Amino acid sequence: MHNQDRAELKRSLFKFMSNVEGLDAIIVTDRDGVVMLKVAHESVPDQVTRHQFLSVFGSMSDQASKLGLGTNQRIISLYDNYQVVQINKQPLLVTMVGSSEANTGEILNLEKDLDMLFKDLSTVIQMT
Amino acid sequence: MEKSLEKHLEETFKIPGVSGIICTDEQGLCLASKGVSNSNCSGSIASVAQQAEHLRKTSNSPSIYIESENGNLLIGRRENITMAIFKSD
Repeated sequence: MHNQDRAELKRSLFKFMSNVEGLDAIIVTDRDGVVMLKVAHESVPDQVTRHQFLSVFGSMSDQASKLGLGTNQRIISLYDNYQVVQINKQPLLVTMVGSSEANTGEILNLEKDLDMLFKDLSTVIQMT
Repeated sequence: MEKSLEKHLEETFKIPGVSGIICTDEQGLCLASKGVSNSNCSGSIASVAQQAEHLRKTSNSPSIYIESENGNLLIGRRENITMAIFKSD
């Protein structure tokens, strides 16, 4: 991916993140948790931007898809101070981290906005 | 568990002029919807109600009325529940 394209994508991601109050990070990874794109406020805990945390969703999603309800699409995890919304967009995974009081519905709505971005990135991953 | 809520939505939906109704929690997640209302707009509806409260401090949450070409929308929030009623012209 060219640096210019990457910068353009990051700008778009940052804009989407700013549209939702309390949303602190949007991280796009491949199935193994390798970061493709990331925008995050400084306040976000370090561990959520690392591969060890991000790669867990891939396994969680695989297991959730074995529950007889079809392919897992999204997982929302609510903690005391944070919430993590993760979306399965094969071959990409999207992790969004926000405060526990952020509007979860609005965070989920971002999926529509992110779909255009996913098309370009998915093509790049499938080619590699 | 949601039978009582569904029943209330059903009764409200019968009122002439009401084309849709949606009920969301404080996190913007849809609890129930009926008619033209799309459960995907639950986040936006909850957000509008929350933001309106910032405009002016009052003891009760304000009611919001949105007029548009295709119809009108009435949004109200009580405690942690936000309800929106879609009205056709």
